[in-house]
Amino acid sequence: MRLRTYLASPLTGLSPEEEEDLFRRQDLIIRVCEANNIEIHAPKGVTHPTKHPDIPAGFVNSLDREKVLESDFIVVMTDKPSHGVGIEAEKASNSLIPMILCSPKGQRTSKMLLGIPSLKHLIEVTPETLEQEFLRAIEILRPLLATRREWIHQLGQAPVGTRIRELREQRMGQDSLEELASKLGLTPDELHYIEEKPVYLSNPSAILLMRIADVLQVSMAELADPHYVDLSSERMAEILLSESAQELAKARFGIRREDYKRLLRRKLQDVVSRL
Amino acid sequence: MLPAPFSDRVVKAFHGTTIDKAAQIVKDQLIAPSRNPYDWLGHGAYFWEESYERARQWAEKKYHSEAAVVSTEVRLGRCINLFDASWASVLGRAHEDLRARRAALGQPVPQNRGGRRELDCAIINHIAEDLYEAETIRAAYLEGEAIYPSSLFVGLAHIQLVARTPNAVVARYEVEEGS
Repeated sequence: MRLRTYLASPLTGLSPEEEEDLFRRQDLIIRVCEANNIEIHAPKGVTHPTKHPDIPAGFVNSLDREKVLESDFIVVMTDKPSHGVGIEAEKASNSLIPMILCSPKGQRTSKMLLGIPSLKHLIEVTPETLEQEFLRAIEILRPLLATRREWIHQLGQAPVGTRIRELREQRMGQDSLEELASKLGLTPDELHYIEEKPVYLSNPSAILLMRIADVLQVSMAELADPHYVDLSSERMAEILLSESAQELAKARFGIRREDYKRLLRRKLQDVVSRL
Repeated sequence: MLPAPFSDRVVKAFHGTTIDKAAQIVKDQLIAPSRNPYDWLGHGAYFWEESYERARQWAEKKYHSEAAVVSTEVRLGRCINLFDASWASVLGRAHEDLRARRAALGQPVPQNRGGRRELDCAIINHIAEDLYEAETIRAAYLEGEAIYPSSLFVGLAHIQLVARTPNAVVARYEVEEGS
């Protein structure tokens, strides 16, 4: 299994010496990954704020977010407080992506990171022990990584985004993207992203899904349940009135075919009257 | 600690013991965990997974006419499932950790000798106590003679299952008929 990882690290607010030391350690991690068939995305080489100043903030957020969520695990350099690292760790934690917290030995690690309840593995390293400790951490995480790959592949098939778009178009019209985004407090681009991307990338929060369900007047199951089967009334009637349903009623409850439809009608009337 | 991967699979589990202990187990609805330093899969309550026959054979060999088998069901839950090859790297690392720790303390490394698996026990306990939170541990134990020449099938092979917490047991303990 070729693993994918993301290197979350402070990139700014570092003295020249701090940056040199941190980036040397990052380069070591990158080399170790490459030598061990692990695909690694390190923002310092792609979206560094001062080295790549022309890249728009929205693009940086979007790219780094996707790279985190596509990863099997992330490596978090805990040297200095960093907004970006915090956001990336939160995104990983919300997607049940294991984290290796890479902390220089003798240095305190942020309690916000240490306090992440699970799926984290702390390594305290010196330059001499970094490679060995990092490899050890990956090997210890392997059972989790293998299992996660399996279930994320299944989950990723859940057509949450497609359902949101279809239900929005059904209930609000074809050109209702802006309108629904506005009602949700999102930009149209944000909503479009959720509708178009697989759920393991878009990862809409439970609160957002509940809000979408509320606005569209549908159930959460219709949005998020990968096994949800949408039965129209015609289809439901077809199934209930089918030969096989009548045979089943006869076999299980001793109801004659002739009586089945009569009973079904009475039951449905009873249900409707209670609504 | 990391959470061991979760499985909601429930398996039938058999425990070989004596008639008196079986009665006590059924009365208390509890098997006291084994904590020997030579227990192959570390500390916990030991079962033969899905194999009444093997549990019976073992109990009769050890306890003769006093043998009994108790059955229940165990949910794997957070499981260190050593059938999954990805645990091999964890076992290897745990072994290195143990050797390094013992060397630093000037203590000898435990040894495996025949059925007394002291090294395996120490390694599994290290994994289950320091690295991964787990409710169960399971592994294949190959023992006995080849059933026919060149066969890989051996007569006493079984799956050993350890419940590290009573919560992993999800059915009543019952004494098996015929045991």
